[in-house]
Amino acid sequence: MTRPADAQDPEAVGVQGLEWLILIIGMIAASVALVAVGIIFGKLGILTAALLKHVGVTLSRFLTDLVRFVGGAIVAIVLLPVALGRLVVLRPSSALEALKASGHESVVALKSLGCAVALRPLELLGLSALVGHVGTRMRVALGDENEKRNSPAEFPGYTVLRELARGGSGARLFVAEPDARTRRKLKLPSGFVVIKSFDFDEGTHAAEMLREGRSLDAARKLGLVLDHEASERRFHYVMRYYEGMDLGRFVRSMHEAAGGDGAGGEGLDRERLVLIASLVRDIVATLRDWHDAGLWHKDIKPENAIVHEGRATLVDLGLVTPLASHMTLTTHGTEYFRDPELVRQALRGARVSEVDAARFDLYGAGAVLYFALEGTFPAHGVLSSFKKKSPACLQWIARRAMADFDRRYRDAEEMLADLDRALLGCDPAAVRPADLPSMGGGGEMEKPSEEAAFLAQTLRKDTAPLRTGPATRPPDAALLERPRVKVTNWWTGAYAVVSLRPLPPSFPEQGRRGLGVAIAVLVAALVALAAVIWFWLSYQDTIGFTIGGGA
Amino acid sequence: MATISPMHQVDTAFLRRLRARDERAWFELWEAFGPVIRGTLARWGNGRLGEETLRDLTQDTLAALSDSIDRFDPQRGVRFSTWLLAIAKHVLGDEMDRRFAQKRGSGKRGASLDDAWMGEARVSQPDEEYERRVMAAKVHAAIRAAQKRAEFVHFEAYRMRVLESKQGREIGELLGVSEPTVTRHCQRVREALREELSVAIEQWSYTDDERSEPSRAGLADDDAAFDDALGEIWRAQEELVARDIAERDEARRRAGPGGGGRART
Repeated sequence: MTRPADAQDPEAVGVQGLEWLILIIGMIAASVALVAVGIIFGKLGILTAALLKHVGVTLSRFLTDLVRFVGGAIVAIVLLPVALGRLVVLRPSSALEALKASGHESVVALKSLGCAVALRPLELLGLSALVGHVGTRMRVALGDENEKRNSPAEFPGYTVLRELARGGSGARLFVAEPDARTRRKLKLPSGFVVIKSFDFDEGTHAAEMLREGRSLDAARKLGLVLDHEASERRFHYVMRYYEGMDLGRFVRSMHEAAGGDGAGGEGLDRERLVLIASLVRDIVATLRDWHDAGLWHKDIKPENAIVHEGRATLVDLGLVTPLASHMTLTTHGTEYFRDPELVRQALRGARVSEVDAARFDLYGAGAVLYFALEGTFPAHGVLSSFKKKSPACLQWIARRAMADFDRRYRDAEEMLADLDRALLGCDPAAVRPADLPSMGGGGEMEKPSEEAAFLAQTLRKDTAPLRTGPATRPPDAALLERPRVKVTNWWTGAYAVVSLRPLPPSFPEQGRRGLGVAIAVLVAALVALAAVIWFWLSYQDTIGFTIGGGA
Repeated sequence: MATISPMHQVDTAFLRRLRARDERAWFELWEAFGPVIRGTLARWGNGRLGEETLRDLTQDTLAALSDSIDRFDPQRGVRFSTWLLAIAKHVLGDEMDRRFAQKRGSGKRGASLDDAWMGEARVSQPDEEYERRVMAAKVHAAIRAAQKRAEFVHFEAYRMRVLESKQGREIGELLGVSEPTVTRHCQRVREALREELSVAIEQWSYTDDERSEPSRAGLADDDAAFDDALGEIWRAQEELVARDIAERDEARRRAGPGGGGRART
């Protein structure tokens, strides 16, 4: 049975309102169900967001092109009477300049217009990669030197994903993904690589290339370089890529999170202190391995350590030199992290083999520890004061490492022993300088608890063979860590180690969100939808369907 | 009351080394006065001089100083600090002339670096802060030299007492030694400091007024006053350098990307 829609009939109005209500509830339930399904399957939401982002970005570029076109056209037009005016006052060279500028602006405007009407619609259709590639190749083929310099490089066996900022040596750095065959050759089952490429055509000098070549052999011995290739004009080598933040940024963010905005701050809390001191420890452990292998890094600084999976990995092999090298010392390095003694010896004309160059790295490690504690570099070297609150033993270690050449740590092993002692028990504030092994305090070392020793032993079993590269863990590293466990089964008491290091709240571990909530929402939405449909079908004859003014 | 040891003749060995183009002597000069000159030039430049330019100008200033130090006539009554400032001004002026000449494209050479700055009347007098910086640089050079001479543990004990105002007992606990041992450590370092201070002041002071600065600052008094005065100058120097660095960082931020940095050199 149907009822004619009668706006004047109160009963009819009520029924119409009920119909609308049911329809709205049904639509809401259907939308919620759709979103819940999207969340559950993940892809839909991501695709929608990606699509919207793509449209937004393209639209923004389109608008930018239009603004450029309008701006360029206005300037080009305005410059014409200016040129004419200069010609009138007999200043032909100035008039020519104005004309040239007008021409340049016209070209810019036309290019922008071309982009807006031709390129952006293609981009919107997802053909930007094709358009970009054809454009770049055309410009390179036509001899655009600037384009050649900036065009993505190609390396057989690798797909270049993106380019990193250039380093001090002027080499180009690319993040790349090896193909399956190359992966097998490199014995790299997962992860990306970074390719450092030197090209004479791109401004690399022979000296830089030679320096890198010298360090290359040494770095290969340590397994730091996975692959390399040299041709007449180009030379590149491949290292493992560690995705992460450099230690400089990491430390600054820690200090910012701790509220330290300058000198005299309260410093880091215990958790953060332990974490960053552990990261410095990683660097010193790596240095120990390198020094044992007869190499020194020569450019230890926070920016040359990448924090990756809670560990610091030393990167930038640009200045790595064999300790037995007969080359004359150079003053390369970074201000405030470079040992003044290195400069003195270099100015004296000393050869690397004549000095204990490994100690120059220890100065850098001490400076990095100072930076980690203070959030700023040691402007006065060993005489720099600590303005922020930090444990006396860590301050001592930093100063000892930066002390005069003959008074600092003998080697990285000695510094490492001190750091281990400071970090043992995860409370450096409880350790006095007198307790450090270098001060003869090694005998008083506390033994780790039984639980910690057990977990450390378990962890050690899982650790890959040591001393094969910077990413490896020294054997005693596990002892430093306060193991954190998560109970996996409350009935049996089973647990799993979830974090090797205490992470501060500002760096939460990323975990997968459960689907429980999404499933519950989906079920509720489906129930609501079913109820609406049931209500609709059951009372179809009673209330009828008059939506849209139907019968 | 302890006093600074009597002023001896200017350390001619250092001058000889400078004259003989001994790079290490030059580095010592750079280490002592480089930060002062760089800070002063940065202030004059008012953020318009880039990091590299500042470093080059500082090097030029100190090179000019080492070139002409043996020809300098102390009888003219110019303070070392004034002389250093005049050279820096001359070097900066020379750089400006060169830049303008380049801009004009006339190929005009900049002013030659002669001994014009030796006349006191020709240069404006340095301000109080600059004088404080030079004095602090001399004291800091002495601290560095004393630190090289002293045992690491001894120097740290002294630093804890002077800079961190820790008591002897507390230092003893931290270092695992007795209080009298801490006192002995501090005394050794203090003696080394007094000697090195005497050398540094004599080496880099040309007028009686300059030579008397340490006494005026309390560095010729008894041990407690000496420690207080030294600690104050030490801290002040750190603050001045920290301010310079902060200003440089700020200038770099204003300049944006590519505006320089702590470059690998």
